[in-house]
Amino acid sequence: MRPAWVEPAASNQPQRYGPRGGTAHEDVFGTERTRSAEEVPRRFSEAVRAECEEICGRYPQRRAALLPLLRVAEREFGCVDLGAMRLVAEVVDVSPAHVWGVFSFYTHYRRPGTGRHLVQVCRTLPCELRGARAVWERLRSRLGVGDGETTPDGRCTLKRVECLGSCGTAPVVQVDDDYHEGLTPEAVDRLLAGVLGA
Amino acid sequence: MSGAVNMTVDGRPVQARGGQNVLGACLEAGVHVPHYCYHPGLSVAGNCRMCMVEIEGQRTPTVTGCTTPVAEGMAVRTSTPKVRAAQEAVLEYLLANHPLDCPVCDQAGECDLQDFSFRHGRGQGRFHEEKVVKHIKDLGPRVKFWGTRCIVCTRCVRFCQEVSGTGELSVIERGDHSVIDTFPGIPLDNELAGNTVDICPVGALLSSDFLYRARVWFLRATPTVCATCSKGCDITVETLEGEVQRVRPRPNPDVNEWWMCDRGRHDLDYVASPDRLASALLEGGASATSDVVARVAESLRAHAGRVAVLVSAWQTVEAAWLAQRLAQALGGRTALVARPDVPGRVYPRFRIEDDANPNRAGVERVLGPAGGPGAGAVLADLTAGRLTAALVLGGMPRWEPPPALVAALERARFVAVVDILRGPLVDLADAVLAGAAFVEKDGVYLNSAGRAQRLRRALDPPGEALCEELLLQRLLAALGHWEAGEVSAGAVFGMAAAAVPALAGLDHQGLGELGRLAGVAPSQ
Ligand code: SF4
Ligand code: SF4
Ligand code: FES
Repeated sequence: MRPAWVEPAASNQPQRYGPRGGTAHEDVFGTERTRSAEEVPRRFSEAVRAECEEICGRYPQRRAALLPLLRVAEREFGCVDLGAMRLVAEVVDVSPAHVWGVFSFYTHYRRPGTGRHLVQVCRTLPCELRGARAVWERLRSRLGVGDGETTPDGRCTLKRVECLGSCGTAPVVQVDDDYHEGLTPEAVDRLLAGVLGA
Repeated sequence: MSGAVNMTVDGRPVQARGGQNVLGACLEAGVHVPHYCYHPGLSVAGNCRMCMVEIEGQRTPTVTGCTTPVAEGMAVRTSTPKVRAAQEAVLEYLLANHPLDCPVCDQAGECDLQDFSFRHGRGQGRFHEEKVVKHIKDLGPRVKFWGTRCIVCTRCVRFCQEVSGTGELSVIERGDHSVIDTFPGIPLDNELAGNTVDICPVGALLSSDFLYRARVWFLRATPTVCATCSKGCDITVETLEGEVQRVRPRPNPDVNEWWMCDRGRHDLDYVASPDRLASALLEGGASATSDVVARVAESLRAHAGRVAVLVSAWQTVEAAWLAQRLAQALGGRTALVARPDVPGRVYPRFRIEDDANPNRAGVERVLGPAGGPGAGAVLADLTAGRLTAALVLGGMPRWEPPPALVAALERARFVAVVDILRGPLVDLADAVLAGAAFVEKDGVYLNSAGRAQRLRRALDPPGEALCEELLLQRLLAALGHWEAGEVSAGAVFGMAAAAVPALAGLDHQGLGELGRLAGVAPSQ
């Protein structure tokens, strides 16, 4: 009477849809990487707990402190992983899924498996108009990795991001906490030789 | 803010409530405005952009109705060329990444994406780029998710935040990669999860239980009431080929709002169980119902003055009242039997009751204070031999009769049982009549708040099984105490309401779709 349950195609298999096809998107947000990393229980020290309370106190609602607390977690644990999100959820009193949603909306937090240096290339219109594509191509070919990928030696993670907020000095690349502005492919070579030691 | 606000919708005067939004006012006035993210039971998100209307004299060409508060004198237009262009554009965007897989989608036939595309879409997409394909996965044990079909209206997310308060769902990533997901390791497994499937306007959230069972346009829907706990949620039972295929909530602002729990949703397996009684039994062997009725009447008469009539809290008001009549005719005593409490649960905006019986309030009111609560005294008299025969109206699924009850009945010289499933009581009975499950009969249940609500028959009882109120009428007739002929549950209810003060003024018709509080006079 009841037809056998037909398993839908598993999510990680490429599926093709639409007039020109379409494929499961690449993991440019690092979501799969974050999801599949084993969850490590995370704890804040007493001092960091106190810092969290101080940050929460700046806002009318605890949940409003979510973004700065994710920064604290990133600093403490080197990246924001599942354990860190669960911890932050507990501190600001929202569900872990809510933190997962907020965290994954932003490109600028470090995912698990991010290399020692995080290189973020702005791909929004003003940078694009000022030559971001050439900058991107140079970084990609020199590092030998694509969007969201990390070099095999773990030194660098490369990703394209939305507006970095420095349109006046486009094109911009952010390496860890520093902006590198008005770049050209040649400047990329110097950057790689300097900061990135490549 | 409250008070009436006068406005017009497409030139027609409409009275809205202050603080209401334009979309809500249009919908309540019966004007169709397509919408996805707005749900009357949830906060307003204003993200789908489908509910566009034009407001005369405003600078913006069109606005979202769900985020625009009503105002005195406002003139709303729901179908101008600008509105139609906006609707077409929104639908085209919503369908850009959609796989158009209606032929294999359970939602087809009750899908707002289909319906609005048909009514308001442009009929042809112009999107030739690669589609973004999102995950297809189980979000929890009872809910499956097709990210490919999701329009990210966030109804499901808001439900889990606001109604169940469990917060398992979230939108992750952003832009055209936005997709619904759970936090890894925390599945969508709360007891209200099934509601997310109901409120998903498209085929993105589907029930694992109902998946690929039936095309929805073949289902026959019957409005009735859930029996799993004493809350009495209004439900629709959908059947096909003599089987229950799906159970969904019916909105009732005074009982369950728009929701129901998964306990009630997935509690109907026993209706089609192989243990169902499909015929009367005499000393364990199948017999004609009429023979068994005659035998039960005769035996009970022989024990007149020493008969116990036990009525379960799953029986309808009608059956309980007839049982009461029967006890009076035999000079017998009545008592209520009920399933033990199952811990309920309180969610921010929904409460599951502890009492795992749908009609304790109704049976108690009919049997009255003497014959109602606590079967203790009656059981003691059975055990002591002061009562020598018993008629048990059971019909409670997943019920282990307590040892004291079984022991007392074992002492009785004659036991007749009306039940729906085999079990210890049926095994010890001398005579058994096959009754009907709650989805197989008409009648009235009173929920824990004393609200009388109608059960409606969605299926026929199996084989020769009959509704209890018919069996009891036949028993009464065999005893010479029923002159009315065989009448419907509605007619029996009328007699019960005339006789029982707590039911005064109620009748089947007057209960309508949403029921009414018992003991409250109908407003004129
Ligand atoms: S799954 Fe359904 S209810 Fe949830 S966001 Fe997607 S379309 Fe809306
Ligand atoms: S709360 Fe009670 S009446 Fe409502 S659906 Fe759940 S079990 Fe049924
Ligand atoms: S219903 Fe108004 S924007 Fe979705």
